[in-house]
Amino acid sequence: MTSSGSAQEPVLVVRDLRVTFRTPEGPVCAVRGMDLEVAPGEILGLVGESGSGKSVAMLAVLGLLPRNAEIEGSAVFEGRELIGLARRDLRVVRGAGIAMIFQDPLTALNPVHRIGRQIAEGIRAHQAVTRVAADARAVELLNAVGIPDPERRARAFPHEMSGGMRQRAMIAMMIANDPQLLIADEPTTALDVTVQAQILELLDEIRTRTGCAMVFITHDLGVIARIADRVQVMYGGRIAEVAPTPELFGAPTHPYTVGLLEAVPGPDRPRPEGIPGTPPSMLRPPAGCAFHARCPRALPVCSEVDPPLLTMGVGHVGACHNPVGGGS
Amino acid sequence: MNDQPFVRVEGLTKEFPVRDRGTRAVVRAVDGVSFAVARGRSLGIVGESGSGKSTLVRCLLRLIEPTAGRVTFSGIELTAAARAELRRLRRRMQIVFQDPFSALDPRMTIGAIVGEPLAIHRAPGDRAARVAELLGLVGLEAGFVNRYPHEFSGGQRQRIGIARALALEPDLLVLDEPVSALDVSIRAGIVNLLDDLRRRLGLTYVLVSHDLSIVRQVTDEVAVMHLGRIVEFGPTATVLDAPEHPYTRALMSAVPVPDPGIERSRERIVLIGDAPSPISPPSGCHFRTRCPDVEADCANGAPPFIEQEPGRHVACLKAGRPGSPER
Amino acid sequence: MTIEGEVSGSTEAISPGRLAWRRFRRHRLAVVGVVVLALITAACVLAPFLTRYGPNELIRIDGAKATLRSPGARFWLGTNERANDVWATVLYGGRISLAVGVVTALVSSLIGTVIGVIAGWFGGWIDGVLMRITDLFLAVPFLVAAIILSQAPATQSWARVVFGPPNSSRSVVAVIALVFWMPVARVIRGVVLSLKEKEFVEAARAAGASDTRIIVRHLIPNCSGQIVINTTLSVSAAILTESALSYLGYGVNGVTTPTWGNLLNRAQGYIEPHPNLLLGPGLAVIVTVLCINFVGDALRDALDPAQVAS
Repeated sequence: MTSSGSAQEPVLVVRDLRVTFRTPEGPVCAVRGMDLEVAPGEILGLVGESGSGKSVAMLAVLGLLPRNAEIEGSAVFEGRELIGLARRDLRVVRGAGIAMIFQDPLTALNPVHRIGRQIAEGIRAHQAVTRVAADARAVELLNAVGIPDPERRARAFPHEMSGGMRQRAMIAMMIANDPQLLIADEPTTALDVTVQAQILELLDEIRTRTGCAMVFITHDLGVIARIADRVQVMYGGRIAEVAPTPELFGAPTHPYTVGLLEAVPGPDRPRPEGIPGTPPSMLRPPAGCAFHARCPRALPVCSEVDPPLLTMGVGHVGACHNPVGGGS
Repeated sequence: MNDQPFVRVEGLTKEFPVRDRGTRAVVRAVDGVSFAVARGRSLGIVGESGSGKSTLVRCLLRLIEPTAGRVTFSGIELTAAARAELRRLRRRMQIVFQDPFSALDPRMTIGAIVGEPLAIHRAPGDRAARVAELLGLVGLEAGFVNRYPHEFSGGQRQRIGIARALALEPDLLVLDEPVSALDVSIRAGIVNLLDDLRRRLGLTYVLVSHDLSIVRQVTDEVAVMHLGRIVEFGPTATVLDAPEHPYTRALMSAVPVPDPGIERSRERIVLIGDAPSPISPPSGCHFRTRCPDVEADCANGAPPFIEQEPGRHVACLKAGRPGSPER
Repeated sequence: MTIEGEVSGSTEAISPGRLAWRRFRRHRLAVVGVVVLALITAACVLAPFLTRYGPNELIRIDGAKATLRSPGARFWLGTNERANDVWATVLYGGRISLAVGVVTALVSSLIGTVIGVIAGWFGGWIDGVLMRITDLFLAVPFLVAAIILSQAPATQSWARVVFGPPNSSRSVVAVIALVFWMPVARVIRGVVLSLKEKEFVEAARAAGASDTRIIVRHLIPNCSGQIVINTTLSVSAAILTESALSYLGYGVNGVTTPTWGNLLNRAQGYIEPHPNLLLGPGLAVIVTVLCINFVGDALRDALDPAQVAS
């Protein structure tokens, strides 16, 4: 089922995660029963468009959502339940066991502190080392992520660096404490495509070198094809399909996945067709399957009953009443 | 299509003054760019951030005043036009913006937004009917005229922006990253719409994008920009499938393909290092610090814009030399 | 050939104004504030129906002047040193204080908006000059300036023409407005600077819109949130400033026209045995200003452009 790390325990197991935001307009159900598993050393791609709940789900696991979020369900990391964990204990997990990198490093890095200092502080928050040792380690890390002239760069401020370099610095900060799991939330979306290629190469290399697992959140199917071992497609706060990467692209079963793949131009597809309609409002989530209003294969049952998660193949599940190619 | 190019750009340059650590310096966002577009054709301009592509098209429409160079539109020299003439010419060239969330005035109804160009130029005829017609053209219900932008999705807002751009029946449409801010499943709809409109209305397009798949679908020719200069120019399919310039090759290699079989097995050109600062770009060829095929001569003066075949240009010393590197 | 887009479920258009109103409604304190303000204003306007005495009317009881009576059934707030009914003076005085507050706020917002929009939109040397003028005005301590300016009509004929007779309502409005417009100008200039970068402004330019059209049709409506907020909060500041000026003796002429401010001035000598003389106008000012500030805070939240419509 996974490419590396065989019969070991999964690093993270999420079951039936539900996140609802209390807003003045009413409850917004961003995540409506999501499962997720990441094996050690595996890169799981989490794909979805706006409103799919992919980012919210991961932020919920790390306890990074605002106060008006109600979280239910279970997220077990290394045998520990994270949902409902006390803030103090969660802080220990964050940054050391599980690290997260974000889309915009400029807002994630503190603009008034030098890069080296920020990394060193991250180290000292979780490890008992001296300032000097932490600073030295920070320079080592900057070198490890491919930043040239790391001693000089450690003294630089975030705004003095380019987007690609800032993202590398953030990665350095996040791997400083050797996390078992790295969650990357659209880390390359705001970057130029040549810089993206460099960052993807770096992340792949980190995975190989340290064996840390990754959850890679993106909407870009090309990036998924490049870097993910397994893919989980989300729509309307729920799972649509989960499969190993080659199988997802080669034999997709969920009509949304099919639509997504067909919306992108390809060698035999000079004129792609998008999916008509728009994602549903999470303020009033539709009954039954979230996708039924836009689905070319919709059956009457789709608007009434939540589709069950069916097995489509080895390590391949899809939540659909009428999957492409039939299901068991 | 006659010989006289519809849009011709010659030696266009735009400099911005900046403060670089206390001293006054200049950023050459656009550095001596020249190209031409025939009527009814579609030109794509691709490049990464800092390439100058957005500045270029704004200079093209004189939304920004160029520092040097000339833009000729339908035989009239746009860069030398006086205010009144410029206003007249503006009817014939319009722009569609990237961000559907800030491209529409949040306090105006979409009927007022789409009809504004008509109001500005006091176009005769039934304005309401024309607005309804335009909304229909982009696939929106005419009944939406009294609604406000915030009530629509990103894709719909982009359609409204397109309707507004078409109000005065322009000949030239400039599109600045028209779908980058939209969800993937929505993009295809907008891109297909743009393609259809071009054919139906006989428009000429200049499309700026960093997304090469859109460029492939909608454009006839493409110009690849790097740090203010065009490094490669030619028919879209040829340039994207068989790039000659090392930067174009790196670009094509970096674009991830949604096919794991291809993606994992193909050879990758990963550039080393960051893009150079636009304030003090490398002398000679701006790409030489990252170019895998760099030579000593690359530092001497800007590379020549070699015409390899008719309509196909490459700004590289090595272009067209016998024994050029393999693709 | 229509797209199955999802436009929000309601059948009528929801203007940004209506959305703002909905957000405003959620702030209970502000809604209470609006009601209270409405009551106060109504009371002042309807003064003749709420009291049978005039504000300067010398009341005689059995032939003798009814000075400094304590509050009771006949005189709800008692009488003052000139034998006027305090309740009447507060009601009629409120008319002037409120009017001065509102007119001052409107005038200063107008001046500030015009300057801010022009400076922000045109930039360059125009911006430079206007902002230096603004800085100049800001550098002068405004109460001192207000005091000096308010004395000008007494000695300078040009001031009399521009500001009106000394110690009149008109001159007080003019004087306060002159020292109040600067923050508005700065804020509006900032808003315009950020609006200038927005693509819809670029689109208007690309369509050939003139500067005037862009300013009137695009910039000002999108500044309206800030303008409303500033104007509202200026009203309370203006009322307080007028009170301060009148209290110091530089405001509206206390002999002919009572305002809350000069009522406070006159109450000075009588605080100990007759606190009602101070409490009447004092409470009126405090309650009014508090309510305006609640409303202003709620408006700031309701009209905040950073809010994305649901």
